[in-house]
Amino acid sequence: MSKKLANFAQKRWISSSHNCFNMYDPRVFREPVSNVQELRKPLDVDDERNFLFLKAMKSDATPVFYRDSVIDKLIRVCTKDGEKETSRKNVLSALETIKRRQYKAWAKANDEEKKSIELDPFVIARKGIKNCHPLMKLQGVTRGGTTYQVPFPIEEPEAEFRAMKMMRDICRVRAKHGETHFRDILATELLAASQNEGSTITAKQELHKTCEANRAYAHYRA
Amino acid sequence: MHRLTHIGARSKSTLADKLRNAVGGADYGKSKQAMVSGSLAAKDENLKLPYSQGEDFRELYVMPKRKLRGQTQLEQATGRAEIKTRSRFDLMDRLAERPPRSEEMDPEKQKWTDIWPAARTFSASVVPLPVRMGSRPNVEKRAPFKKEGNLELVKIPNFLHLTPVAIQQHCEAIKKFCTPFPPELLSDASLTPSVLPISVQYSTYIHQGTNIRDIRSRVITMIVDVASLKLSENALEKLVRLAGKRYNQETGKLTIITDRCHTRKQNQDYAHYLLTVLYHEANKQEAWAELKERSDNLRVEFDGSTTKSKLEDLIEKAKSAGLKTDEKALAEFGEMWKTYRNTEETAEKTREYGRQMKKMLGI
Amino acid sequence: MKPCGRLVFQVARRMGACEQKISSCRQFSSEATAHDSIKVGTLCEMELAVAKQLNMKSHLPAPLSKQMDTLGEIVTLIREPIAEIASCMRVVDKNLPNLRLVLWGAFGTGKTVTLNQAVHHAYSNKWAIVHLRSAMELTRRVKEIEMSSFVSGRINDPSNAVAILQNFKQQNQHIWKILGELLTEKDYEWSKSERTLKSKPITEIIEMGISAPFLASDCVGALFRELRRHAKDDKLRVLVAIDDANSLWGKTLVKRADRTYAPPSDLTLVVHFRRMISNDWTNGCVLMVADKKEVADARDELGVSRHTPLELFGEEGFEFVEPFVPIETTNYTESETDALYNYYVNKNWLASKAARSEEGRKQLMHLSAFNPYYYERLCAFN
Repeated sequence: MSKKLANFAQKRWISSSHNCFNMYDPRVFREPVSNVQELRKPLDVDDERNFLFLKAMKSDATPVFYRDSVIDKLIRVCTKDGEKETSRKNVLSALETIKRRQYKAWAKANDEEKKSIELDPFVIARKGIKNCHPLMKLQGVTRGGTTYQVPFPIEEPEAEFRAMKMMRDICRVRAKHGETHFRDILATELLAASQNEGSTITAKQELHKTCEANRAYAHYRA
Repeated sequence: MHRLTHIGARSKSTLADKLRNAVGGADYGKSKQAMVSGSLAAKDENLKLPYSQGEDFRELYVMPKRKLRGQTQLEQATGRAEIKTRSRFDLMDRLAERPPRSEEMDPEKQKWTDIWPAARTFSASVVPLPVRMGSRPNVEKRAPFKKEGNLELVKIPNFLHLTPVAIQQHCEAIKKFCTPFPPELLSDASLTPSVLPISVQYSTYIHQGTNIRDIRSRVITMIVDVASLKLSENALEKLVRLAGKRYNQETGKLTIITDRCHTRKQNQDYAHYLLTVLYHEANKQEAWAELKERSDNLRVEFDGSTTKSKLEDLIEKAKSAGLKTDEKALAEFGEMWKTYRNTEETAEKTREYGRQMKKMLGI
Repeated sequence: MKPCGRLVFQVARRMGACEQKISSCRQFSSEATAHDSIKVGTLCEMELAVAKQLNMKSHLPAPLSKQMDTLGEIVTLIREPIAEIASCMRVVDKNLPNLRLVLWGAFGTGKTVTLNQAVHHAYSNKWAIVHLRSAMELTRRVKEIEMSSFVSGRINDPSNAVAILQNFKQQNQHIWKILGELLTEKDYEWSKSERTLKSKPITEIIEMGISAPFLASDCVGALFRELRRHAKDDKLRVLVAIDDANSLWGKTLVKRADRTYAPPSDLTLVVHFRRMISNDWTNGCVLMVADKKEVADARDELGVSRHTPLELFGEEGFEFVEPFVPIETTNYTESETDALYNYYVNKNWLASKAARSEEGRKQLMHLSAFNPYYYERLCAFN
């Protein structure tokens, strides 16, 4: 949890549920090393990790060269029923599809256009998610029996999550009809979002419009 | 009457005087005396009674052989009373009680084997070791319970009767009845199946509780070395077919596990019976065994297989086509093929198959 | 890891004597020489027109088919198995019974790709090609069945038979004229009205089968018989390439009238293909792939099935297929991975910066455990 929100939570009666119990005894366990370069260096003789245990490394924190925090978060957001493997397959297939479409376009283009076409699917996915970041969020505040949708400021991590969630929900609705697959629709959405087009961008803009419309309720932000 | 004479005698004493004086002066009791002596005695002048001449009645004070109540109360009040201690009611029992035997034991003078000659339940007073046993919620806070009155130590089996010294004693005692274990059997493990072809295994079970029985102790595992039965080839094959999964090809051992009877002895007899039956049945030759075909064999043979005939055909044609074929390699291939078909198939075996095939065909 | 270098050298020495060539091999390695036609360890391109004719889009595994679509070319590594197959194909002779080869290996090591490379090789040497995409289609993906009028108890599969005939027609366009010159040996009475007379070109059988699905299964059988006959007479050489061949002796999902599953020997197409595999004709090469798909059960989480021929074909199939030469497909060596990596980088297929670095190159190799399938999958999204 960010410091600001924790501070805010302390002052106001908002739940700031911290993790109260950790199976890893903090006196005995330390974080694992995720960086390959650091892993290859030998440990300092005085380093406490010579005498302590290390926590198990999570499957999406392994130090592979294609590790990307945004893509990992997207995989987590798209996970359904705890089936992270399926989600990972879908998201990586979507990246592959993005790359294939971009490659085809790149192959057809002339030399000038070739420089402007981005082939790296990770870069496109990041840009697409970034373009979908909402600048505000609407939260329901109940006053006197009525719940008003009040615009609130938003932090970066939460904005990223909301962007991913919007995209995921749109793709899920569209993928329900059998023939189309989630991975292809996600690819289309990410590609469109990186060009500031597509349903997710539209949804974000709608959200911004509603926030603008409800700015009168902003004084309920208390 | 007697009383009166005693009184008369006493009244002459100094103590009486003293007491009289202490109580009421010199005149005390005199008029009374006159009264008490009786009218007859006082009036009669002839009588020579001590008190008849107008003497006082000498009172007799009888003192008990104890401190009077007043005195004891005084002493108690002032705190100078003598406190008498009484002896305990169980004093004799306690004197009869002895310290634990373990405290009186001397390792120099006594032998443990004399103290604990046979298996017996744990006795805390006899065992001189500071044993502790017991569980508790917080391991750090409390030591396990001591041995005195510890039921857990009693419940578990102990082997205090099996110290090395005790065992050695036993061995020494029975040594004259034994012959040494053959050293050849110890050094060469391959001799064991021929000398001791049958091994019988069973288990005994101990329980924490009042019930000493366990139903699993009736199970018998009998392992027989089949080579020592010296069966003919046909008889061996028949035994293998009859035994099924009980026969292990690699080790050549027949394992019979019986638990169908109630007692161990019965199961053992049944196992012996099964072995006997198997042996005799294996040696029997039935008429229908003549009808056995190639597909009934336990193992696939190279000779007589379609593969061999096809290969021979192929090699001939390959030679005429001009390839450098190797006919002697066919026998070697046959051996390899037999292992390939009859044992576990692995990638390495398949590669070997490929190599031999190419060599044979000259590719 | 196999010591690739030594083997390459040995293979190259043997190759030196060959006259057959593999068409338009764009060599990607620095050791390419002019006269060595099949050089193990190099990348070879297949022309798109040829690929289209050979129907590579449906015969290649799905990821490679997508690559063909995206990159606009089919480039595959020449590895030891294809070199062995090429050398075996050179041995084929009219006096020699057909040479049977079985491609076996772990998952993702290149069995199907090698099969397709062999088909391409046969094409460039003007062989007749009988290519079956997967024998599992004949036994398990049967949409509609018909009882055979030719032999009672046999089950016909019209849609698959038509597909086989169409595939044969498409793949053998390069020798269509030669096929047109080969004549039938007898009268074929397909039904009361349709017949193909004696001494007519065998291409008529194909046309007959394509036009009339209910006759197609029998046409397939007749076509195969004619091919075998003409191969024996040294009119042409035949390559029979069957993917997932062990399914011909495996499980069927075709139900008979009494609601039991039919054994594979009751299906006409299976019978026809088994006849093509059998040893009694000459001047041909039968290339089969033993695939784990038939035996592996997705619901069995604990069991791991073997990928060796005896296990996959079963006893009956193994004895039928014997004697054969087993050819193993293995994982990549470092040099092979390097060649492929350089190709991807040159083509701009590896897009991300991390993948193009030295660290990325090493990690790609090791993360995929040198397995060709997983290497391609890793390179696909990076």
